[in-house]
Amino acid sequence: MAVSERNHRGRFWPPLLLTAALALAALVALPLVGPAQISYARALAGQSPDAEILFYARLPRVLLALLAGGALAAAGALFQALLRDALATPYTLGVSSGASLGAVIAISAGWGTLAGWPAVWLSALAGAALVLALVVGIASEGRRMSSFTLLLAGVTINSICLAGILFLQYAAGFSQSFAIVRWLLGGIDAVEYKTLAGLATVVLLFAAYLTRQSRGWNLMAVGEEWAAARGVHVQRLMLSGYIAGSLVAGTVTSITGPIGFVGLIVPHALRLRLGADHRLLMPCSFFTGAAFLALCDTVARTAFSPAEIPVGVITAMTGGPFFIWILRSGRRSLWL
Amino acid sequence: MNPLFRTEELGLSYNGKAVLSGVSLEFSPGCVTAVVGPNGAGKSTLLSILAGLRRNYAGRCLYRGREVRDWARRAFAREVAFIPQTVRIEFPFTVEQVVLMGRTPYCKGLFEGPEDWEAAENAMRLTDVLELRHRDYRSLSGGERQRAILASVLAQEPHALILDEPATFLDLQHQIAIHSLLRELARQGMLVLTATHDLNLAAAFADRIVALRQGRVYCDSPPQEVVSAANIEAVFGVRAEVFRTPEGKPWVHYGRL
Repeated sequence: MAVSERNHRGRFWPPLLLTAALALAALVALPLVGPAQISYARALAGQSPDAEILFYARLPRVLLALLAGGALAAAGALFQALLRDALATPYTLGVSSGASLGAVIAISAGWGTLAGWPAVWLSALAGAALVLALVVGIASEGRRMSSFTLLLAGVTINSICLAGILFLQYAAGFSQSFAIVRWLLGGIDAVEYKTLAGLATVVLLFAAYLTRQSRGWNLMAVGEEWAAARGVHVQRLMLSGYIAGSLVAGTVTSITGPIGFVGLIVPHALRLRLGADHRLLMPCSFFTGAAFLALCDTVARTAFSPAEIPVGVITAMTGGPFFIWILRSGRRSLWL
Repeated sequence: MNPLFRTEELGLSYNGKAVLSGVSLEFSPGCVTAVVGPNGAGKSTLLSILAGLRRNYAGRCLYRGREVRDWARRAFAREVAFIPQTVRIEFPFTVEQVVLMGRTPYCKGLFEGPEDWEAAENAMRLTDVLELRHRDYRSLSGGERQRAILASVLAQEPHALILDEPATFLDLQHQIAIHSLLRELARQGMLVLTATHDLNLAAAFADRIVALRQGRVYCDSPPQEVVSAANIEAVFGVRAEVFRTPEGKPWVHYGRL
């Protein structure tokens, strides 16, 4: 018996270390990629322009991509478990359209900054929080919240927000309309370190919470009664998971705009390879999502440099075929 | 022996419609009880209340003298285990992972300890799924799934086991194997409570049959007394003939279909 226990824990380490190494490699290597050749030695010695390019252009951007990618992938794994739907994403329950509506309102109104922060971020965050409150309020009607009512409420609010975005975009002037489209495509920018520090705190706390609750997600992924019969306070776990996931997805989306596919494809691909145990799936999704988005953003900023491709286009165009390959690699068929 | 469960005037309503009412019963350890009745008679409702899954019941439902809804959830899960009618799993959990989930009420940290593995492996051995332990649950046949789920609740090491139609997908051999296992568990002192449609099965392995009709207890006795043509007609609305097996157990023949 002790043998199987050892084997069991032993199975956790290789994928965990591998994905963590992937994220670390992305952090170290990707800032070096770009039209201007830079070296760590010169940048760390403070030589210009290497130091400026590394510390003010590339490193903050890679860091933002790592944090955003990790958060979206982990939140995706969470929502897939909570909703027992392999096609759920962090956006399924309307958080990103709430954030988008908030951002679009700020762009349409021409708000600049509020208390030193971009008004678009604050407005997007407020939009995400409002949607979160609305969905919880509607879903917990009649005191009993289930994943089904959560899904219905989320999808409905999602549509309402999208309609609001369409209306505002229709009513907006030409340059505002362009800014709206640009925001809705999503993108990673070099942001200030104080923003990164705040985001890192939120995202890392979230990742730690998700990993700590992994046993709960396993049970919820099977069923609510299944979890309840094994001593889980289902309502409490579902509500706290939904709130935590939405807050993190909303915070990320406020800064980057909606970036699709990471939250869907990363946990899904890992689940095919690693199985459904969230003790492994959660941290591995976080690390892999981080590395994946950082890589995609590097492609986005360098492939057609100096022009940039929206990173959401890259995530879907590179991730899609890769995902199909993973999906097919397990079985044989006559074609594809 | 002292009863583990005691209900007094237990009831439950959905949207003002009573699906269960006035149920006063006692269930003791070491006894296999079958709850029978037609669809909608309240079998599943009664079982899920006893399993602690519905806390909005009316009347009283006591486990070890304490109201079920007042039990701490983890502590209750170490006492009472429940198998629902069907368990659909959409994600690629292995049988072993499904079984280990039964150890949740005992686990403190993220990982299972040696005693958790021992309980899980004993449970898998009892229900004959040890060879399937690394298989994806979704790739199992209906009967294999049922045995994996049974292993998961046995890993919970409960004092009371509540099953909602456990034999639905089992072939004959495993049906008999599961029911002899349930009998053996009862002999070792476990309370076994199972809902079933199958009167012959109930008569063959239960010590006691509770028949529900329209949310109320119609009769509650040993099989020899409950299983009679008159009772079957009253509860199920079906004409039947009751014979005796060589061991003296009732055997129901439903006549012409």
